[in-house]
Amino acid sequence: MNLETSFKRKVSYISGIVLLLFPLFYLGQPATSDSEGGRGGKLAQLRSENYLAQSNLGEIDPVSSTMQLATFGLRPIAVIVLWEKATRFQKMEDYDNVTATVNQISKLQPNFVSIWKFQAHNLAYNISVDFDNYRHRYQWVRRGIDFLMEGTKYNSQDAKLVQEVGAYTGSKIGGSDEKRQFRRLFSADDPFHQRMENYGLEMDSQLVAGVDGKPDNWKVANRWYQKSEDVAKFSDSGIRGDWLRFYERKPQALIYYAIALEDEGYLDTNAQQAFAVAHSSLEELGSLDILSSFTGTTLRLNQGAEFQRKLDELRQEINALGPDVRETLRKERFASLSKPQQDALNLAPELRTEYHIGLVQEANEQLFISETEVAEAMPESVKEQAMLLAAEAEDMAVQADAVNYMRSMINYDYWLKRCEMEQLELAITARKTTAKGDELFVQARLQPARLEYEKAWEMWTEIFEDYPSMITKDTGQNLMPSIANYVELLGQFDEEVPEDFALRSIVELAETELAGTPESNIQFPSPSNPNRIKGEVPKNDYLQNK
Amino acid sequence: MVVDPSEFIPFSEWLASAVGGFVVLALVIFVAWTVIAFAFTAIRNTPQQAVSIVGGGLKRAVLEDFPRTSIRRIVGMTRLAVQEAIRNKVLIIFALFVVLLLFAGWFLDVQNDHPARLYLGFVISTSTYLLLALAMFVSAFSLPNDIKNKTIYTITTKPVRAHEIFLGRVLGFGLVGTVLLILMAVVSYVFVVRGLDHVHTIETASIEWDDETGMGTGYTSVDSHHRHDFFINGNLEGGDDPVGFTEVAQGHSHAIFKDGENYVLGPPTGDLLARVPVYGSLRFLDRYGRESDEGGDGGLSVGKEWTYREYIEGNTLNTAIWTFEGLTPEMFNTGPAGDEGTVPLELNLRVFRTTKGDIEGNIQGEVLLVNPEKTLSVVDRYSAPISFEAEEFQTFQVNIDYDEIRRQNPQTAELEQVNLFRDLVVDGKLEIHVRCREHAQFFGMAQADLYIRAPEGSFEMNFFKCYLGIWMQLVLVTLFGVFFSTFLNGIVAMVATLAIVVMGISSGFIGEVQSGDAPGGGPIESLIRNITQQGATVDLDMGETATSVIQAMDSFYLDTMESIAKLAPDFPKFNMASKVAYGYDIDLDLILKQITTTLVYFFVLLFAGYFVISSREIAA
Repeated sequence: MNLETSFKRKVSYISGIVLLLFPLFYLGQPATSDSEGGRGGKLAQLRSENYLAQSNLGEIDPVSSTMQLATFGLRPIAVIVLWEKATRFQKMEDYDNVTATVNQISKLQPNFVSIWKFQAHNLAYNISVDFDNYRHRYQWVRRGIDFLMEGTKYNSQDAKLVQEVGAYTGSKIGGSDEKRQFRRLFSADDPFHQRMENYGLEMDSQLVAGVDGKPDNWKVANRWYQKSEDVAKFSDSGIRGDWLRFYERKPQALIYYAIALEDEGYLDTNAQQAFAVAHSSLEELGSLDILSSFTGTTLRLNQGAEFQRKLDELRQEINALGPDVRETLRKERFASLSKPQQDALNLAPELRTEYHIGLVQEANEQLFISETEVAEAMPESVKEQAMLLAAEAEDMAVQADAVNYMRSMINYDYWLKRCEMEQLELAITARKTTAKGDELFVQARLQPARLEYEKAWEMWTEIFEDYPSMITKDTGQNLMPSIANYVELLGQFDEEVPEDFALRSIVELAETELAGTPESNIQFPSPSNPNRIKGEVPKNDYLQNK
Repeated sequence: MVVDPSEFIPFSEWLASAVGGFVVLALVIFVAWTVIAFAFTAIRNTPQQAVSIVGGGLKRAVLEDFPRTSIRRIVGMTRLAVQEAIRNKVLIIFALFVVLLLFAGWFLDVQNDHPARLYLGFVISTSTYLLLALAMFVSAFSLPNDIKNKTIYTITTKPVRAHEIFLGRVLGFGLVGTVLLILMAVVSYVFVVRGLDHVHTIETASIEWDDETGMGTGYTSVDSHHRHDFFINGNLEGGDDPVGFTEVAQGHSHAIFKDGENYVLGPPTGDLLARVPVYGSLRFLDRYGRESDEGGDGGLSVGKEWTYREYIEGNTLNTAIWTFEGLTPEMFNTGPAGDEGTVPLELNLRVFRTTKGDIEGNIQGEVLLVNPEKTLSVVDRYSAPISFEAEEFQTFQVNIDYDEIRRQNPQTAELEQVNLFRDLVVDGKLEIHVRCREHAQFFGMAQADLYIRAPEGSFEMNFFKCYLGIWMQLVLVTLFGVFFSTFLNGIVAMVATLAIVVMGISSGFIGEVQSGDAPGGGPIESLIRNITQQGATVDLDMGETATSVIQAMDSFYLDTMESIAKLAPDFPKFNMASKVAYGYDIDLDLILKQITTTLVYFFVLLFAGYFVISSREIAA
């Protein structure tokens, strides 16, 4: 090897390096925030387009970045080891170390949303129930919510994560077995309110204040939902998933707030106002543009009637073009049905058995006549016009169906009616009277209790006459225990529930509910006492046997 | 706190059972050396000569080298090792430790419920890992480097005996490690104590007073990420005595003192403790009151994956019975008449509810003090039940005053006080029965979950004992490092030491994999499962023949691993961080067991090292 070849080799190496710098620059140039809007190299652009760049995900934390760097390329392995450790600590009930480990995982993978969701759920739902003291349980629920809030800091563009904070604050605190205790603790938890305030929630606003002026978990949840809607509105990723399910949460939190007030005995203007606010929030939901998975377009829940009206008008127009066409078609279709199908259709609905119902369903499918079919059967002279109208009508039908489907999905009509009904003075009085009956029943003052209950049932009957759709499990949920008391009370008088009892339908609902509850069979008779009744204290026979 | 059942074995009993293991360890190493030495010598010479050379070596060791050990030469060698270690800049480890502590706040969870546990766990484990890594590097590379650089000639040409070279290295590196450990311990202590120190304030105007009782309640200010609820007795004058206390938060509470019109809080108490527990043995009666030897089922499982604790069912005869031995009246400050004193019990129970019950109330339980003499009648054996409310995930006290220990008089049906030591304790033995009172609710417990609390030990002393455990690990690693370096080159010696440490730490896991308790199979099987994405608990989908071949190979491999792991020291036993962190005194028996183990390894490896060095004929 002479000097020349060595020199040539060096030159070729250097040229190779210089040449490689170009694709490297093309790929890896960092994005800049200068006024010329340097979008950076290909990788930076891809990161930005796919919402993977730190700057579009959320806050950048120096600790987290340091930890990620300190693990070099071993971050995934470190994370796996930490997950394994967290699981082991949890199994061994070493919860201090669970939280410490989970924090480390989140620092290593701050933009992996599943970690925040999974571990927050773990803290608030799984670990919390392992504690016997409800105060400790609350602390773990709080820790889960806190963990989620921290996650929103690193993933500020993720509307769903923000929504989860609302869901935990609402449902976990306000929907657990210990909801009364949790709600009380939350309301007095000033440091936690301060934490929420640090995440941009106005905790001293009237919007979150409960009856006592302190933050109420449902109303705070409602604000978190509002925040998630804001995030969805302004972020590039928008709402991922079902829009309706996303938007229904906000009014729902207000409804549950109002229900919680009633449960807690605020049977006065407080509850009425809460239902009024919930009602207007539902109406607001009705006028929102919501993407329907049915039509692929945005629709509003309050457009149902409008679509139906337009559909009816279009049908009338089509009918006017050929007055007998639809009826002729229907008759032809009916004639083509089998004899049992025809018989089933002719049978009065209340007499139909399951067999008949099946037949009717089949028949109805065959009897369905689309607007296009009607148009096609029109005389040639008006056919073209009919076809145009039919296309429009069918489009309208699809939209009307889509709105109806969306309304039924979230029980929209029921909740609207419920909010309306609960604002009635009569409803408040009925609830008060029922509560009075309960109070007297607990005090074993049976006769006055019976009088109060019967007064209340009359009021409820009146309400249900105006609002028949309210006779459901949901409305009845806080009436059922009172009705059960009443049934027991009647038993004390050796009477049974009268056949014409106005709230029989609710009693039936209660009975189906109760039938599902299995009896406790924890304690067994002992070999020495095979006839022992469950739950009997066995101490005496133990001492005798010894 | 979780206590390994082996810790309940007293030192004397443990020693009797451990002697066998130690003899096996010594024999294995001795036989291995003899066979290897004989084989090598026989290859180089004849078998007859090999017998005389190996025999001569043994004779020289016993009659010359060991009896003529020179302290002066060992000190000289030690000094050399210390100088070498310092030249290798080992003090950098201390600097690294300090840097880690400076940034600890970044990755430690400062809002944790028990920051003391977290801080202590962190400093102790960091010290351990750093020192063990250091010991491994320094000890494994020293001799091989000397041999490579031929500096060993400067030593072996002098009249230094082989074991003195070995001892010098171990003592020298041990000494450097010890100095580092002391520095780390001091810095750690300061870190923990300062990290936990904080002051809360109480705004006098914010106290809510109950006019009837004169009791005041409220919240302290939020400091160090927490606040406390507090109670103040407004009827007290104050002075040097506290007028109130705060509730426990983050593992500690504060006393409240009156300072003029204001209230001030004392320093945190209750987070750095050294409780001295007196443990009893635990057995169960089943729900029909039967002992296990009468066909009883013992404690129950409530379906938890972790089976450390067993459960008793409420409102049945399911009973947890602790038998205590060696009790004396002095332990309970018994008065001269024997009717004054207190039995200080501490419990750490788990509660498992199958129904909601009273959400705001705790589950009720009862304690009975019972005479262990089963021949007595039930009336004479049992005290009347003393009730308590279970608090979960925290140690709670049930202090039984002697006047609470009563029994129903069969004649008058009145409850009468009984004399603990005359009526219930027999030869220092007493049974304590625990039951759950509420139907369909359960209490969970393990042996260490109920104990009699003796006067408290010093936290500082406990901290020292914990670091003594780290020191012994340091000595063990140095011993292995120097031993391997007598016949392996530097990097291989280090890997061998690392292997011993890893196997010592994970011997439990290796045992679990081998016995099948840890699902997923041995290394080959789990590798296949990983690649083919098969879950750990399903049968391996490879066909019968292939599966049995894989499992046979794994089984051979695991058997070998387990045999080696058995020879390695059980490092987790030396780790007493959890005891310090949870505030339990480290038992002297535990320290004695560790010292004995360390000494055994010291002598075995010293002899082994001696024979290896002398048989390598370095100078030749």
